[in-house]
Amino acid sequence: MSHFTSVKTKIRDLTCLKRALDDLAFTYDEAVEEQLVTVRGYQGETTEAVLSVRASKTYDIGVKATADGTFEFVADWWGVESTRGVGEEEFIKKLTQRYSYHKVMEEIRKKGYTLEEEVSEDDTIQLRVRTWS
Amino acid sequence: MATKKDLVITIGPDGEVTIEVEGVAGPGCLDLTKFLEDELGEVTDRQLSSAYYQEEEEGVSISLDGGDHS
Repeated sequence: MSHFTSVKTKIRDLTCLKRALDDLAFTYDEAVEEQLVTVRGYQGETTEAVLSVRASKTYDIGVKATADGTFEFVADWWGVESTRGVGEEEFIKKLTQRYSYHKVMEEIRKKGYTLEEEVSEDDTIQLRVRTWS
Repeated sequence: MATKKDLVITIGPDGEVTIEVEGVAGPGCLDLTKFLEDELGEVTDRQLSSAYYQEEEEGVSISLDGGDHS
């Protein structure tokens, strides 16, 4: 072996983000063309976003596009935590892990590389990928 | 002759990704992980072991994806 690289994931791919939400059993509404969807917060306050994740009967988590091409999450996190039982940090960590998984798999598929092994242990996913040149 | 190399990709509980290259010596291994680094996000750390600084063996091609190495 000859090197290790650590990468901090940035969420830029909406398709992989939706797959990650599916994995975590979240449902969501999605903006159609320019028509953004409503995100519900405290006492009927709302905002608009590209995706509105239905966290509970009364609270949503919004996914907004930012100027640098990444997506950010907006919510009344107190409301989400008290009705869904998931806080901001936990939500973003779990979602980012599932997003990273789908993004890696997608890029491997594009390259035509093969997945040799997939192991999940202690909340960590390890993939062995064979490349040829 | 085709050269086999494995990438071992670890995705931590917070989504941080670590990519390790096996079976390759020399700077070619940096090219091998670039496609993932670019698409995933931002490189926060890179550690090279002594194998990186070894001369490549003659006759072993590390050219990748139309790169200009030979």
